[in-house]
Amino acid sequence: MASAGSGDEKAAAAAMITLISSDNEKFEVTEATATLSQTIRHMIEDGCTDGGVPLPNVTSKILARVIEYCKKHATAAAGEEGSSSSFSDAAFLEVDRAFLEELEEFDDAFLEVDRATLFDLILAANYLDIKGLLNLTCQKVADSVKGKTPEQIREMYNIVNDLTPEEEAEIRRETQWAFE
Amino acid sequence: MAGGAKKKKVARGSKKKKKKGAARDAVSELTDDVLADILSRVPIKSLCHCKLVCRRWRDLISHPEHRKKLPQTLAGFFYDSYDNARFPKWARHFINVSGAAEALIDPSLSFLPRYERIAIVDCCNGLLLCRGWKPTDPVTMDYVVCNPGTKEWVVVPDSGWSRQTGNVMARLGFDPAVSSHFHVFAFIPDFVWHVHDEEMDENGFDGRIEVVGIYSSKTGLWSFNEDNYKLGDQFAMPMDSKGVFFNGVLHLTTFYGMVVAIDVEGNILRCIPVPILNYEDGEVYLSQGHLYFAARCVSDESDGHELSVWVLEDYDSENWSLKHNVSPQHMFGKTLLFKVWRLFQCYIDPPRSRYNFHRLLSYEMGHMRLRLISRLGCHLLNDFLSYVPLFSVSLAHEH
Repeated sequence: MASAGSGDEKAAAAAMITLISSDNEKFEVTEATATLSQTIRHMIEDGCTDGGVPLPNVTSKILARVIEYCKKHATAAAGEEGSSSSFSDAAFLEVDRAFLEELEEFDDAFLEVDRATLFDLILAANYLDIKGLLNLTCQKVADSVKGKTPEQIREMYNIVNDLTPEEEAEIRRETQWAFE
Repeated sequence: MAGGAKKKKVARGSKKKKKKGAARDAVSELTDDVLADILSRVPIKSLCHCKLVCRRWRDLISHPEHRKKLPQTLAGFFYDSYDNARFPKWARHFINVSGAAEALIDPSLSFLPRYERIAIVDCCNGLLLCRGWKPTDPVTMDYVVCNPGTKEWVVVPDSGWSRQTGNVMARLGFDPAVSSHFHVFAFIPDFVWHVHDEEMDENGFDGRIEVVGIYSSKTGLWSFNEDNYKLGDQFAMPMDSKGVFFNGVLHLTTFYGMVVAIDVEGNILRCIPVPILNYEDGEVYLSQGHLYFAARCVSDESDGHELSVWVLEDYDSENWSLKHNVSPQHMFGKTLLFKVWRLFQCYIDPPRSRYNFHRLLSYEMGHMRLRLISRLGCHLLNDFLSYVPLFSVSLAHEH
């Protein structure tokens, strides 16, 4: 059983996929890492990854970050399956917490980027269909909006207000409780 | 270690694109779906502020298609406890999903008229369906529908079965995106329908439904539908079957592997077979505008603690696709009992024999993140009712 497992791992390690960014930089990653992207998973299933996967919508800078994320999370998923199930009663929460905290710390550090990069990551996660990364980045933007006034949000994201004063007044009337 | 692969930069060095952060309107590059996804994560109060940002945001938030997804901000759970060594023995609690100390909602519902006792029966899109026992003899009760967000309430007129509280399963149907009116569904078993009060056996509920009574707040009347329910066992359902009111239709899980869809006239529109044969705690849920089914799988290999979640991507089909599969033993190295109250947020309850306290934990399926919400103490009763507040719509009631 154990040897069969490591055999599979070797097989997975051997299957490398080449991703090509919009600026023509090549990244070689394992299939396990690449298939966190549903888009790439489908391409692999369809057998059209020979000679590399061109990703014309993703720059090398962003692709490098995306791969960093996928690697960490692919490792985390693999680590979990092999985890022991003999923690003591009192320790179980602490142990799994340590594991999850590590992943959480990684995610938090990963999100320490400027806004432009964050939006590029969202676009890439959406295009590559990487659920976890899309969740993470969308949540970050949502958190940044939380508790802000409309003016602050517009300023933060360079959005032009095209609502008429009448329209604004109507919105305020609808949900007056929110502005009290 | 899987892979251990190293990224190899094969080609020439990257040409760095210069972005001066400032003048770029990055939000406009996002598709509506992604922006709606972001806005769906914003708490309801902030969402109202977001509506004032610009037309695109306003239209996205107001659009009925997105509105169904947007106000789904889970505030917390109602639950009951009973303790002989305490006064009063019975108590209702509300716990914030954020874990923050002060409960967002006063669980006593003190804005309601005075009753001997009030029990929350169901919770649907911000409204609560309660039973209020009057201090009269013989004891009678009212159905009360209320909105804790606006402190409004309505007493539902007597249906004629009001005394059979232990034997009638009731559910609330309310969708503010469709109508400000609500419906109360009362599932009346055959023996209640045919037998007089005095002959009643209080604990006779076996789940077989004879008649569905439906109260409409629009007409102010109860109507009864017997046509579809004479098939006996087929429409037997557990007393605590959770309802999902979606697209004006109530969805319930029966005893025998079916999700039934019942409209507000009591007609059975569909029976959707659930995706698994042997399961426990199977219930339907609603998330992001899709129907989900979650259950603990029971098989020879599994210990019955593996939680599986399916989604009905195409509502008109019967094709459930498996979305998540979580084994707590693998994740946490421990056998735990799972209960799901809302998709992607699970309650995990360690068996009592090993722990003298219960903990409310949330587990995000997508992120695989476990978070302790709170310690709950012991003597928990019944189930937890998840509550999503509603502030914007007034209770409509005409009669």
